[in-house]
Amino acid sequence: MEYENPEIPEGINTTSTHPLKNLAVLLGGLLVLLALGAWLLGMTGAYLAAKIPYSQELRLAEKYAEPVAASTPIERYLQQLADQVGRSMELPSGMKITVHYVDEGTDNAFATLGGNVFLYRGLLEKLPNENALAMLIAHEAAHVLHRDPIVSVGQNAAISMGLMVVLGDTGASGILGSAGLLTQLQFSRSMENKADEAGLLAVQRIYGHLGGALDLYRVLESISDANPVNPPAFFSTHPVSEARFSHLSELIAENGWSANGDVQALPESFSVWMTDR
Amino acid sequence: MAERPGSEFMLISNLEVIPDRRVVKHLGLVQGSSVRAKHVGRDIMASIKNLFGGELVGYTELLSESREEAMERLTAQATAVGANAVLNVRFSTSSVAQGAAEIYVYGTAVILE
Amino acid sequence: MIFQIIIFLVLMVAGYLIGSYLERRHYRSIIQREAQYRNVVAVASRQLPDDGAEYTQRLVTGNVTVSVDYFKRFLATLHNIFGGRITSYESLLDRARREAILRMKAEAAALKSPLVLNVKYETASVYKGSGNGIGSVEVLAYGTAMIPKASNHGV
Repeated sequence: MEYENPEIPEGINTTSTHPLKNLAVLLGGLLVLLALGAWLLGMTGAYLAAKIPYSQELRLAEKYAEPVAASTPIERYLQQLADQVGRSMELPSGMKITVHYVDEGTDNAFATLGGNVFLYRGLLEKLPNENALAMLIAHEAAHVLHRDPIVSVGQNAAISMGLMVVLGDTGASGILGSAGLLTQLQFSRSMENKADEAGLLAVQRIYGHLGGALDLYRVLESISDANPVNPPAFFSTHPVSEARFSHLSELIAENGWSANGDVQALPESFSVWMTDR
Repeated sequence: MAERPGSEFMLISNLEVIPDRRVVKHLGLVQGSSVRAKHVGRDIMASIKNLFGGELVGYTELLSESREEAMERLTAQATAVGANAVLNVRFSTSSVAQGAAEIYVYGTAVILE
Repeated sequence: MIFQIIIFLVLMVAGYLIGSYLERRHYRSIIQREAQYRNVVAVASRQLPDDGAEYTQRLVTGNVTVSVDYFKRFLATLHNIFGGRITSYESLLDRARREAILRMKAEAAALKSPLVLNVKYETASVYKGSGNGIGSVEVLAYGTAMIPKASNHGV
C-alpha cells in the first residue's frame, strides 16, 4: 500500500460569510425580535395587571409606602382637599387617595400603588391658587382611579421577565425591583390624557368652573421652558406638550364648561405650612 | 453513508479492513466538523422537558443534523483528495460552549480497488 | 451605563481587527507548514504497512490551546439565540486541529518518521470565560510514529 498526503482544499470545514455582515443580520434580527417581544409582553402585562383587585394592590403598596396619618397642617389640608377630589371623582369604595407631602425643592408629583400620591414642595410652591392644586391632585387621583400605577408595574414586570427568560438570568434582583422604581412609573400618553379628562371633570364639579385649574398647566409649561436642557424629574413621567393643551381646550369646549371664574385662593398660611415640620 | 451529486458513492466505514477489497493508496486524514447552537425555542422546550423527563427530541434532532453535516464535510474532503472510501471513521462530540456542541468525524481517506 | 457601552464597543472593534489579523496570520503559517510536512503521512488506520520494512514505534503528540477574540464570542452569543451554524467557532476548531496535527507531524519528522498510524484527537474546552461564552479550546492529536529501522542508526 502506498501512502500519500495530498493537499486538502480550504473552506470545507469553515464558512466564508463575512463576519460583519453576519453580525449585522443577527443584530438586526435580534433587535426586531426584542422590540416585538417587548411590545407583546407589555400588552399582556398591562392586561393582566388591570385585573388585579384593588385590595391586593393595597396590600402590595403597604410594603413600599408606610401609611402615615396626616398630622401637620399641610398634610391635613392636602388630605382634606384630596378627600374632596375623591368624592367628586366618585372613587369606588375601598379606594382612597392618601396624600404624602415631601418637603423637598424638586418640582415633582406622582401617583403610585395603593392610592398613594406624593406631592413635592418645589411644585406646590409654584401653584398660584387652590384650583390649580386641586387640578394637580385630581390628575393624580385619576391615575389611581384608572389603575394606571399597577398597569405600569405589570408592563415593566412582564418585559423584565421576558428578558430574563430569553437572555438567561443576569442576576436581576427581584422582578419588581428591576421593573422600574415605583417613583419613576411612566404612564403612556393615552393614560395622561384620560387622567387629564377625569381630573378636569372632578375639578369642574367641585368649583363649578375651571378658572385657575388650567394655571397648573401654565405653571408646568413655564417650568419646562425654564429648564429646556435638564427637565426636572416631573417631566420624565409627565411630558407637557402642545397636544395636551389643545386636547384640554377641546374638552372644555365640548362640554360647555367655563374656563373662567373666581379662583379660590390657597389658605393664607399655606407657604408657612409647607416649611413648617 | 453520504451520497453527493456529481461524486461516486463514497464508502464510509469504521472498519479497518473492508472484506474483499484491498487498499491501494492511503491519502491521509480527512475530517468534517460542525458546530451548531440550539436556538431559544429548543432551549425553552428542553427546560420544560427537564421537569418531566424523557427524550429531548429537539436536541436529538439538532445533534443528528450536526452529524449529517459533519459527515457531508468529511465526504467533501475525501472527494477533494481523490479518495473513494474513508476508513477507520471515529466520531467525537465535545461541548465547546454552553449551548453549543461540536461534532467532528475523522478517518483515513483511501482508494480501494 | 454609557461607560460600559463604550468599553464594549472598543473591545468589539479591537477584537475584530486584531483578531482577524492574527487569525489570517495563523492560517498562513498553517498552510505553509502543511506544505513543509507534506512527506509525513498521518492516518487513522491501525494496519501496519506491508512493505516488509522494519519499523520501531514511538508515540507522538501535538497539542495546542487556541482562543477566540471578543468579536467572535459576541457573535456566537447571538447565534445561540437563533440557532444554526456558529461560524465563528468553526474556524477556531479548524485552526486548533490542524495546528495540533502539524505539531504532531513535526515531532514525527524530528524522529525521521514518514508515517503516523492510529491518529486520534482529544478536544477539551479549557477556559469557559464568564459563564456562557466559549473561552479556549485545547486539542490534542496523538498517534504512533513508524520509524524505519534503517534510519535508527546511531539514534
